Amino acid sequence: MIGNPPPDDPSLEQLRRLLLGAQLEELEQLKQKLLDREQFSSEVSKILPDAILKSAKKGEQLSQAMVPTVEQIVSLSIKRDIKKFASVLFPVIGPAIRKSISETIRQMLQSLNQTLEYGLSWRGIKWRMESLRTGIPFAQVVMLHSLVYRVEQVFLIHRESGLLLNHVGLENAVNQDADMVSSMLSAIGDFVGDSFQVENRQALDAIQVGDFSILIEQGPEAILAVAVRGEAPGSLRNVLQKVLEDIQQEFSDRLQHFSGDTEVFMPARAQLMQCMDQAKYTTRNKSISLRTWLVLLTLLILLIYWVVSSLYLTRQQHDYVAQLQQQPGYVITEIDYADDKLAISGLKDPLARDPHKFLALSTLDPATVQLQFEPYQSLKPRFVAQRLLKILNPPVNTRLQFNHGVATLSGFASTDKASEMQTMAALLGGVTEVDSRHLKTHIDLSALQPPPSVKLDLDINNGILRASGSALPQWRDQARERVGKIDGILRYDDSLLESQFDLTVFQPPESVSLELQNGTLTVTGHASQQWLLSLQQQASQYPEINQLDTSQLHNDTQQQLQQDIAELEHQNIFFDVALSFNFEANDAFNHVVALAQRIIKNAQQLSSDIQIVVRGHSDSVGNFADNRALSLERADYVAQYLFNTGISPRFIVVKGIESRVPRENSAAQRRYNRRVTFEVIRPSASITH
Amino acid sequence: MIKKKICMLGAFAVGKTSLVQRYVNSIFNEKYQTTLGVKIDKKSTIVNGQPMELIVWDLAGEDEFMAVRSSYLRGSAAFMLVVDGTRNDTLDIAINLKNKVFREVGPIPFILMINKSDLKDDWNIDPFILDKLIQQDWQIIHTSARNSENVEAAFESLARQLVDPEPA
Repeated sequence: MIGNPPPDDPSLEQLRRLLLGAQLEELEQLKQKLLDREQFSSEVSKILPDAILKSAKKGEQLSQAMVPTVEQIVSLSIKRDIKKFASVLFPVIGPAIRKSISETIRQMLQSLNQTLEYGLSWRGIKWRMESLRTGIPFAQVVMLHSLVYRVEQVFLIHRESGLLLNHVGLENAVNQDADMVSSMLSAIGDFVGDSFQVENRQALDAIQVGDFSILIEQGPEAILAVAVRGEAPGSLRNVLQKVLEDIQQEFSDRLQHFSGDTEVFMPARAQLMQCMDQAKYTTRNKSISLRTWLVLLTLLILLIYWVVSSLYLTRQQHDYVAQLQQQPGYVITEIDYADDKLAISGLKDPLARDPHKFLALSTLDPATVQLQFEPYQSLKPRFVAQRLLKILNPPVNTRLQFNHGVATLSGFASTDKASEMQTMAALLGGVTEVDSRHLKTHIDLSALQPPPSVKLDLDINNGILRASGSALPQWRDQARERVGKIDGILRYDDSLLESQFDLTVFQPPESVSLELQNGTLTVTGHASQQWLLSLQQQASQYPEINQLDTSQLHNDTQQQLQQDIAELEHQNIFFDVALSFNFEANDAFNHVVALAQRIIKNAQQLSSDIQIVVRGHSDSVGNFADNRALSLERADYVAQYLFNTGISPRFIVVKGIESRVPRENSAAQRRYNRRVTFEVIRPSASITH
Repeated sequence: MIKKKICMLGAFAVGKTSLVQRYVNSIFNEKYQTTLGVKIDKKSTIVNGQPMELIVWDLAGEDEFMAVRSSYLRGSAAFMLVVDGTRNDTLDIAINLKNKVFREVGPIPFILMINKSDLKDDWNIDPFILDKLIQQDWQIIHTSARNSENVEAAFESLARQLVDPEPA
């Protein structure tokens, strides 16, 4: 190579030229190229991409060398124009952020899901207990329980020696020395093979304990054993076979010449990892679980219920307040809706409806409603009318109307009540006028024509008429009929009216008055014996009559009889000297006949035994015997004549003079003595009443 | 990493398990031995500057009722023959076992451990036979599981044979 000769040695220069010649030229050109910046950079640019590529292939050296430079470039670029850099990054950042957010949300849901699933369930509590008991972290307990199956360890075992060639396993699942486990497994395999004399090529292919199993795949030189937690599916077996076949093929040579060096099986890790990837979990659905939905739904329902019920409550409260405001007699001054309580205050007419009553009709809880009302008087017609009614307390027979401030009283009332009502009504607030023109204080009862024995009692306020005393049934019936037509009488009560005995049944003559008192019928006035007899006969037939008092009754028949007798005994029938009847005396005689007939009749009525003595007389002229005979003749003559009129002879006694007739002093006296007289005699003198 | 399977063989109650316990940290309970006839332990060690893992198959002791499962011997790189120094018959059994291994697996390295060296006064091993074995290039090491004597050394020695079967 070119050394460092002293430049000023020409011989050496010459020798160099001789030795190198044309190559020296080339060297010079090369030197020029290196020195010429332009030329050199164009040369380098040709090989730079290739050089970088090659360098990158060799390792990270180039990258590491370039990191500070690139960082500087980026920072410079951002400083210079941040917008340009942002627009470059924009297409990347957008999706990245979106992806990040959606992933975060998904994880949140998943975590909520799991929290609910493991946190709220009995199973979750059980697992927490297990975690506390065993000291295994809860997450791991959950995983152990929730997986359907999971490959936890994979052993690649040298078949002949049972030595472990390679092993992969979940970090937390490996708790024993894999080497020893591997050997033990092959020992167990041998043990089973020997003990139960299975055929040579067949071997143990599975060990199962509870939910844990070891699947064993036997190859010519290698055994693949996988520890599986959970229910391993049949497909796992196919995977194992495939993996073992791959390993057998790839490591065939190394397996056959295995002398304990496991290093050479390190590359098999990739195949073993394929087995590890086999797992399945139960809670792997990424959608939200039913439980989550249920919890969310319950929360939603509770929310809706809360909203609806508070709206309903508010509605109820407003309805109630509106109802109160519409009620006459209420003035609401303040309404307070505090929390779920309602406080109402104001004025209330005592006559207004009880607010608690229609509170009971609403669904509001009475405990949540507070009412405070001061009393006042409403002048609304309805309340004035009510108050009028309450204060006047009009009797049933009075009608009270209230219209446009006018209180109208009509019907009937006592004078006192009527004036009281008028006064009170006029004083009441809201009443402008009292009209009592049609209020009557008197009821005309004259239509009833009550007999003196009847006492009528009228309660005009209540329209009740009471009849007491006594009256004939006819009057009673008539009164009942007529009372209905009398205005103002609402009720007629004759329960205290005694029924009178109708004395007209005895057909008393006008001269007689009858009075029945305490069973004694008193007869006053005068009447014939005939009527008296019929009265006595009839009276005995009525139980109401115990006694008949006729002491004050004058007997007409007896009187007549006495009069007639007196008159008859004054009558004279005059004769001439002889026995000749004086026709002039006919009237007198007829009078005598009438008297005699009446006397006999009345005497018979009075059961009086009488006889009429017809006595003949004569004057003193002649001798006594002749005169006596003559007198008898004269008496017979009259008697005969009486008989002719129909008078029974048994009532007639004929008599003449008994003694000498004293001398007359005059012819008149003599004429007077030529006569017949009458006397009435009574064999039994008494007349019974 | 070099891994080697080695077997512990010997008669019943010669102290195989105690020896292994002295050498390794076990994960399996001894009951495996009675159920499966084998218990597996592991010892990581460095031989000639090279890390090595010994997978020790501690086989149930052979006696007149129970033979060592030959299938457990497969793939072994070496084995330990254990003899109880106080019981001469265990040496016979060990010799038989050695023959069995050679039949099943082939001529692999092994070491004869004469255990219970702490009870050397009670030893009852026929020295004539021992001499014969030494003449046959048997490597014999006196060990005591009780006081750890030579236990580690024996295993290390076996391991060395596995790394470099023909030492220079």
